[in-house]
Amino acid sequence: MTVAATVSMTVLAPVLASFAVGVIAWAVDLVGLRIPAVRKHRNAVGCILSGGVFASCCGLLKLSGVSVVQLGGWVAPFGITYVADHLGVAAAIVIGAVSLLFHVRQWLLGESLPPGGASLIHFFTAGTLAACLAGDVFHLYVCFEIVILAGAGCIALRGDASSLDAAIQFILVSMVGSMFFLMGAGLLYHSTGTLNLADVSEVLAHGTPPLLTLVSLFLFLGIAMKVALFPMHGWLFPAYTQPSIGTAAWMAAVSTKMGVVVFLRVWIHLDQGTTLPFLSEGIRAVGACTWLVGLAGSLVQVHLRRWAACTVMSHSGFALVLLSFMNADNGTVSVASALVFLGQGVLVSSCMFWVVGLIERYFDTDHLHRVGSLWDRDPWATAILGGVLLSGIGVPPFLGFWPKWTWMQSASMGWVAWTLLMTLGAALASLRIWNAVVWKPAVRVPLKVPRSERWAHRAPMTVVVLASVLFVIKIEWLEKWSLGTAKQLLNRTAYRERVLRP
Amino acid sequence: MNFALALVVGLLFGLGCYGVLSGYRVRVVLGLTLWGHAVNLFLIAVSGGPISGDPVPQALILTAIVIGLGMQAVLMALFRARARIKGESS
Repeated sequence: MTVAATVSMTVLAPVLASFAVGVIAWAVDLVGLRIPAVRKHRNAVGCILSGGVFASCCGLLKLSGVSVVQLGGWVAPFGITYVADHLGVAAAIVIGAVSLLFHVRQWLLGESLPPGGASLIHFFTAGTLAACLAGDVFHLYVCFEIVILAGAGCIALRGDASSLDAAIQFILVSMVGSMFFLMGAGLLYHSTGTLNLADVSEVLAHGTPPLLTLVSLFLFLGIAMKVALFPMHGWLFPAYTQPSIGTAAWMAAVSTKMGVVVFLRVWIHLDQGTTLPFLSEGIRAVGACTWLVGLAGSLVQVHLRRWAACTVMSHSGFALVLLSFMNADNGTVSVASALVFLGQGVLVSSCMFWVVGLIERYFDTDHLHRVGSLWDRDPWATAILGGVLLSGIGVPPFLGFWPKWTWMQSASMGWVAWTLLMTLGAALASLRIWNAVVWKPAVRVPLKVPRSERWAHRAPMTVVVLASVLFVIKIEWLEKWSLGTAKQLLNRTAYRERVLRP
Repeated sequence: MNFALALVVGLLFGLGCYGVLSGYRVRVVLGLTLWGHAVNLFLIAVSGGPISGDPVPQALILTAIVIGLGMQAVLMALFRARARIKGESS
């Protein structure tokens, strides 16, 4: 096999593996309907399959620099382009890891998704992996649609009226977002003559075509609806509160973060510093509002799942604010901080929902007025909850501290003050949750949960906590990676050369 | 011709808005369908008309049509399942 063929297979392997695994999982579910032995081992099969997907994502680590694959051998800027740069590789590995942890948790707990549910999760994974590696807007649109269809199915899996309502709401908002994205893609093609991101970057480097502001606005609106930015965030709360905890944790960890990564991919080429100044400020304002609204929600919610959903929303807002500074003097630091914050957000979001799942198991509810005394019941889960809350606030030495601290050192006083205010708000929200869940006496005696089930809940959370501890210990490695990735992303000339003139 | 196309796109968007905001399930789906058609006609308009010969917008539109069909089918299935659970007439 030639070197080029090896590189192609390595870059495409995660996406192809996810799709293949989705089909296999669907076949296993079909056979399992008739053969009980197969049905009994569905979860174990799911773990093995998702382990294969994770291994294919880790295979991307063999690549160096920016690897480009043109499907079908079509020369860029034509055809479908896959680009595995540092960001794409990191995103793929994180998505693969979270998918694996989801299946391991299902297997340890003995929870079963309805028939077809596992394949929906795998197709969702495939869509997000493809979106993180896509190099052209056409393919991004297709990946978004795969994510929407699979995501709607995942939300509706429980099959009751409220989860169906949540899925309907999700699909309606997402369809509107897709329409805006499609109109933006059409106008982009009309303005620049291409949909390949590298080619768009090259055209925009030599001048600002007419309608660029409208193109950027439409594309941003399309992405904003998928990331649940203010004021298009209505679908987020039902979508994260209705499915099972495992599914909610998976979606919270991956779907909105994927949207922010796609925004970074597209915006970095649309806005090259001089073309869209007022739109960048608008995006900064939207990010700040999302951050504020998410935080305000987390301060008043009485249901833990909704609190977690609000926290996820506030994380997206902060990440967007950081990315809106990509063309400022502190652009590299801002993008680097955003990348670490997004990675930390994946860990925190998944852990948050898993802890909420364990609390729901103890108290048969997630209402703050009916839970309490978690320390007496489960000190391990309490410690994990404490770590999640402190990381979310940004308290050292937890992982959430580094991106905020690094960015604030180069930000203006106004933004430092805003960040400190939001951090104080996050601290208040976390303290409220800690008081209600840990210190306050529970209204009723918690349910007895078997030791094996408790450890099944704790195992994926512990893995995530250990991963974040490892990153904290090796913070200089994380700093080096994030700054290097930010510089690679902001070096648009090198990206264009690599994709268009390999 | 471009003015006529723009008028039709606007009309479809308006009718789609009426459908989506009506609150009746079938009208919501039909409204979204009309929006989808409006977006496709919009893409035809910005690509220089139906006989411009440029394959990329045509490929984009075909993809949008197919994906839109799938979305509408899923949406109808969700509406129907919900109606069955609630005991409402479909």
